[in-house]
Amino acid sequence: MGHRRQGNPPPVALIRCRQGIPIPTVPTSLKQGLLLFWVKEWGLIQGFEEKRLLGWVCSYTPEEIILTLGLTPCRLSGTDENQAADDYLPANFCPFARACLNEVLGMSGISLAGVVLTTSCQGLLHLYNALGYFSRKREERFFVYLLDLPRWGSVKRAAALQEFASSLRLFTEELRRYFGTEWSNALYLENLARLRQVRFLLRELYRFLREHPGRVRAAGVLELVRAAGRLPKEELIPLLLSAVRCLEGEIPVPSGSRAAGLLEKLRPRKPCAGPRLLLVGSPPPLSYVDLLEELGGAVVGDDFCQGYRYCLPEIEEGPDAFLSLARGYLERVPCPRMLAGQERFVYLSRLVKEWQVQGIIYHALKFCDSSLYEYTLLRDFFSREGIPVLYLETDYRSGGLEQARTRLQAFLEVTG
Amino acid sequence: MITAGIDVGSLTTEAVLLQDREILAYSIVKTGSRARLAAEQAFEEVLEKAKIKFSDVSFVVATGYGRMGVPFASRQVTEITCHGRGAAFLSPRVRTVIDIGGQDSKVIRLDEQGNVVDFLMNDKCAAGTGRFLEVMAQALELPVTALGEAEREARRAAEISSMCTVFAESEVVSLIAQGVPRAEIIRGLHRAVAARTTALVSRLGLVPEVMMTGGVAKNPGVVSALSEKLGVEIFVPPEPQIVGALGAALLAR
Repeated sequence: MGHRRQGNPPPVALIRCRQGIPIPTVPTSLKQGLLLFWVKEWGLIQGFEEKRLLGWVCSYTPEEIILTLGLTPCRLSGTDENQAADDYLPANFCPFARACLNEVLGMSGISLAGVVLTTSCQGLLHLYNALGYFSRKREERFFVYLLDLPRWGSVKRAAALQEFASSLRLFTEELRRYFGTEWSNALYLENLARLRQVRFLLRELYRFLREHPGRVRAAGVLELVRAAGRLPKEELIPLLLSAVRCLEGEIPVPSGSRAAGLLEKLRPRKPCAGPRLLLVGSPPPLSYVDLLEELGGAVVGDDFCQGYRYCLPEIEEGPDAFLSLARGYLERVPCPRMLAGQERFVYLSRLVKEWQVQGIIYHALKFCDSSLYEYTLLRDFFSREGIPVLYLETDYRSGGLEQARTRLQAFLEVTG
Repeated sequence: MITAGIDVGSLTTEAVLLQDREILAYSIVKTGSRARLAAEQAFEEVLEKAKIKFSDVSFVVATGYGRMGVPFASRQVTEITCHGRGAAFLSPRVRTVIDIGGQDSKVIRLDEQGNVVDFLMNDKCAAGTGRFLEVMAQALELPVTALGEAEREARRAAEISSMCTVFAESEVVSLIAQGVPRAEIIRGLHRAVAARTTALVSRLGLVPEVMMTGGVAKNPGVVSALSEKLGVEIFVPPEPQIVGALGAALLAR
């Protein structure tokens, strides 16, 4: 291919990243510099190739933009099938970021045209750095982008809104230039409507879960939400629609169809009549959610970025698409990283009441600062409300499942 | 009605027979590598001691990490609930139970009725548990049961900075090389276990009265170091190792 420009040293931060040394936070100005470096130096000088899958991770990444520019969003949820990330990120580092890197490296660029990350946390920042280095080593071009995400705290919200809108504008501009596609307002509105439908149908699935917790597998719902971020929406919508209608008993399960396959994934393994549980925190390994149900816990919902929160953005059509998108994503219940004061707890407390939750399982990924900070505050908040909270820490893998069995079962005994 | 509780722990397995809230007999055996065999052995032994037959027992509840592998148990309950129930039965005024077993340690909070209201577990590593003391006893060429007695001669405690079992072992080896008296090393180890446990207790909050259960409670050195560190008196039942099995027998119905 010969696309690589010789003799152009990678930025310092990326060299250090390869040696497995934790990298200090990159200041915003430098971040933009690195970003432009990748796009301008490597992206624009090379010819456009037919690669249309764009990886994404954080729930603040608007799929609407990716779709409108003719690309297919492909949400990364990580894998531990290979350990390729070992070459780039240290072992005592966010296991989710490491798993996502495994996933991208495992794909070896066959189908992925690039990845967009956000400045949401240290984990994703370093994933961006590692991917930048990876893209530089490759023969083929690979789009790596860092979307600036402001804090949606309790003050200066108007400024945050404007900032996010302009960072979405910049993202769109870079995608347009890199992939050589154009923004079409008509297509944007079409995608807006499609995503609205996807989110609505997923919320319907969640409604079914909390109304009939024993009749649908919670880990299956989470699996489906993860898949929703990577499946073509026009195929996903009829599939979701028939799955929801089958569950509601409105139509029979069409045998041999894709909907039947989907319903198989949602089929509960064991009836669970135990306490009603809400799952909160970082994305969990799904085997732990299955274990909870196996032990009799009735999972009635979650607050994961790769779960219920994915189904919540409400985007208005509005005259300025980017401002509407920024508002829709930021005004959804904030993620723990936003440190938005009491807002999250008030929201979760409302869920607890409306969904008749009897206990909360707080899952934290190892080394996740956002979760660790939030957990202590959340535990204090809910102990005042009289709702028991169990802390569960994993490394995003199924290891330690048997130790967790005692902890989870004891929690169900206490709560039930 | 006679009920039985079997606690299959990582190092030892205990069985308790209960009749009308009176302990008929109990047994303690090594778990070894096969949890099921240990459960059968402990159960046979306790039946023999009480001179009764299997058919005389109405209900069996299994607890402990090997609870899923006891085929003759009618129910499995976690050791958290069982230790709580057992402790409350032995002393109704207990609000905090500290259980240090072979493989993990737990702190359990009880309400006035003896129900578990909250708990914390260190189930990630063997640091500060019975296994930790066993490894250290091996390095000091002593049986683990002799550690408490051997500490008495100590005039001061050696400094053990690391609480990782592997790292602490090499610290002990280097203290031996330096000629530090064995009793002082042991006192240092007991203080290290107490420091680790205190951290776990502080996270849950200390509410007296405090009872200590599990095999490590048989070591008076650990109990007094912990009592000093927490600043409270710690009640140790006559046989702290069987509290989980006792709780299971109480829950069997």
